[in-house]
Amino acid sequence: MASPSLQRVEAPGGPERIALSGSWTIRGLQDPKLLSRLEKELRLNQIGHPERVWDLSGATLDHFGALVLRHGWLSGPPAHLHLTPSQATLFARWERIPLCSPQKTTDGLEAWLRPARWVSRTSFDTLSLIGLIVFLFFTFLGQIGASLAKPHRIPFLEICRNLYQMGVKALGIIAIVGSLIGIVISYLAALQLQGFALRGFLVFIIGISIVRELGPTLAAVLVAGRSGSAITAELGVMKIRGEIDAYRAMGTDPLYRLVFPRLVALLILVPLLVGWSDFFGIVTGLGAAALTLHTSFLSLVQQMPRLVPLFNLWFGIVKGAFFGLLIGLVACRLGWDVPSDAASLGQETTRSVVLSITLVIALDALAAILFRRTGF
Amino acid sequence: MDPIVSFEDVEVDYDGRSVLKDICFEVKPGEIVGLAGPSGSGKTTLLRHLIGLKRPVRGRIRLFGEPIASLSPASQRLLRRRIGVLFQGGALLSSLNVFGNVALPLQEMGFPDFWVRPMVSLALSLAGLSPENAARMPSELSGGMVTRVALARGLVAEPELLLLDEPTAGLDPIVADGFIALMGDLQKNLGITALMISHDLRALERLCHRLVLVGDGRLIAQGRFEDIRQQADPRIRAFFRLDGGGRP
Repeated sequence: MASPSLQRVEAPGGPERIALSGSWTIRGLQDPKLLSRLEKELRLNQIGHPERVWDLSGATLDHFGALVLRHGWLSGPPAHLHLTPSQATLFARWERIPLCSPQKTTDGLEAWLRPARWVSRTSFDTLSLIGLIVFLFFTFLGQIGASLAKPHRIPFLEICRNLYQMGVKALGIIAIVGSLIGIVISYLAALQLQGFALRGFLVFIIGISIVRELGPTLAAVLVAGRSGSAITAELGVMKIRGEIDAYRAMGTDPLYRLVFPRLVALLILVPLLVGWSDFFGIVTGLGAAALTLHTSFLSLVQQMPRLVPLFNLWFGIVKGAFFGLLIGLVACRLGWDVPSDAASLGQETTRSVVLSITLVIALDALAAILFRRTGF
Repeated sequence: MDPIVSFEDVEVDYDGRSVLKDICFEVKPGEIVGLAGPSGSGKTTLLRHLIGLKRPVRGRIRLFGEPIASLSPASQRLLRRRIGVLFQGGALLSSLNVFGNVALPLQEMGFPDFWVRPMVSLALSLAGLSPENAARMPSELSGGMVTRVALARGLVAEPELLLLDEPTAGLDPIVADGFIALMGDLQKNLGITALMISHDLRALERLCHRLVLVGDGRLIAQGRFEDIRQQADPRIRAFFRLDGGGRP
């Protein structure tokens, strides 16, 4: 591919000729420095020399080359221009092209109204999402009632599959995180209480913080990150691929087939995972305390039921059920409403995790305030 | 004139299983060649080999005279910039609007926005789309418009070869007819060179100068559409009859 160039040819007795040669094409003009130099040369050779004859017949030209020439000739196409018919077509085509805009054009008033519109739309979206989640909750309650009336219709297989996917497969990570948290609390508290002979207080701190707060919250956060996102993505892909419509077309309630088993599974498994997390947190917490305080692990374990009332354990487990249901409702709702494009699927999955975790912590705070005098 | 594409005794595989053997055909400048065959016969696999995404088991594929499989990744990228591809279903990037999708090849080539905007406008116009569509998102487009935007994206960098993978698949007959007419106009006005994979015999007949028919793991026939249709090979007759596009 010959490099694009232009040459001034002196013609004795006649007007000067500017001959273009080489590849005046998108690939020939790809180098920005070359492009800028040629534009400059085009201007220099045109301005103040209207008599010059421009001969393009020796150049290979495409639409981009024609565009560069049109731009380079600041005062419009030269009066004396020699073109091949195909080159003339390229220039003629550019005459008819209306410029497009990368963004939607807005007038001044529209620009002023945009923030107000954003606030109102966001508020409306949030309220409608809350409304839809509440609606889904009542639908779920109705489905539980209907399932109890006709137990043979309960999708047991699907519930078991979800229990396995979201529960059994999460046991390892929840055990690890629970154990690590137990160790962290134990060492932090033991360091502060060293020298005060407050062994019982250390057992109380480990027990109450893990079974009442950290166990349920950690299990819920892990489930929201691991399973909530998966639920939103699964339902979103099903919606995009038309599987939900296929259920409807077959006369099946897709909510009952797809959402109900997931909500039931989360309702069952999160309390169990809370118990699992509590167990590892307490065992490792007390183990670490025994090592730090140079005392017997069994003696610390024996103090636990006396210092930490059983109510706290049940309180944490019941909170786990509420957290599980909340995660499920948010994840299913957002997956159900995914717009049909890949970018939205990613956004809704992220939103599902963030919203679930935020609501879990908000619910936890509410529970902490409401039951502040119970369990001590 | 040197061919733009040449398959020289090529054998290609899919997941380690040989799907096509002894493939020999060429695409010369200015012609549209159709590549047809039953589903699963390896047409798209051939396309993937042609753009260097896979190496053939045997034989040589030349693109613009270069053996693409033997080139370095950087050289392959440079060569690919000379081709435009219209993928099956459009394959528009859903996070970008129409303008962003069409502009992408030029931005990858390093052109600043100053040059990109008029070139995108031209490509949209060539693909029969009005400039108002530039700000729309792919999710707001109909199937026919998605195909046209994909065509605009294929045309925007002035490719020397256009590869079309089932461009009319999933389109209703009227929209498909519109697309075929548009391609015909582009061929007449721009003299584009294209390799078109399709099941749509009407599209192949109206657009292609030559047809390459594959099946049973081999090249069955190649030549002018009318000449192939006259052949007595039962596989050819079956293909034309079963597709529903053949004349009685």
